[in-house]
Amino acid sequence: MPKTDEERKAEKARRMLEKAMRMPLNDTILEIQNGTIEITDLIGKIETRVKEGLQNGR
Amino acid sequence: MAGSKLVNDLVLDAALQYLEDNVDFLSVCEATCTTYEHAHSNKGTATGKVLASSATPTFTGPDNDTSGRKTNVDEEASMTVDISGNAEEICLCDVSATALLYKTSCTLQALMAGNTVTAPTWKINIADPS
Repeated sequence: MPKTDEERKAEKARRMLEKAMRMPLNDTILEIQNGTIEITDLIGKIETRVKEGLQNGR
Repeated sequence: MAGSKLVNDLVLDAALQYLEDNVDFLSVCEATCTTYEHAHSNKGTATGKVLASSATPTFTGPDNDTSGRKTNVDEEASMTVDISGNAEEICLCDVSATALLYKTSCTLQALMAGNTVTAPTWKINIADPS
């Protein structure tokens, strides 16, 4: 069941408050790489899996 | 000439909103996480690889991106490092469904138990079909 916008706002506010209470201690800051989903890649992989399934009689 | 491709924002936003609505656990892990247990259990417990975690991940989005749509995973500041190890992956889990929903990589950094670690804001992008 999808959440309503009000439920989303309330949950985010609760989580933001909890995060604000944390105290840093010898803090390490990570370097995170963004994640990108290429739809063409997904479609290609689905096609491959379907073909594999057909070859295996599924 | 080949025809063009199109996806409505509603389609991409549904996937991004699924993440926003269901992710309730963010973990900083050693490589390589491929299962929920890897991404949710502490290193040293069964097959767990978690070094630090947060049960309060938040998102900002979905919104337009250079191509397609994105959601920003908000900064997780000062998470306590529970187990020492080499952080290389950030995982997003749905605890109630015991599912690893998304994972990205980070530059390897050694973490010491008892210290804290901050995961800056990063984004998940679903690009337009090309």
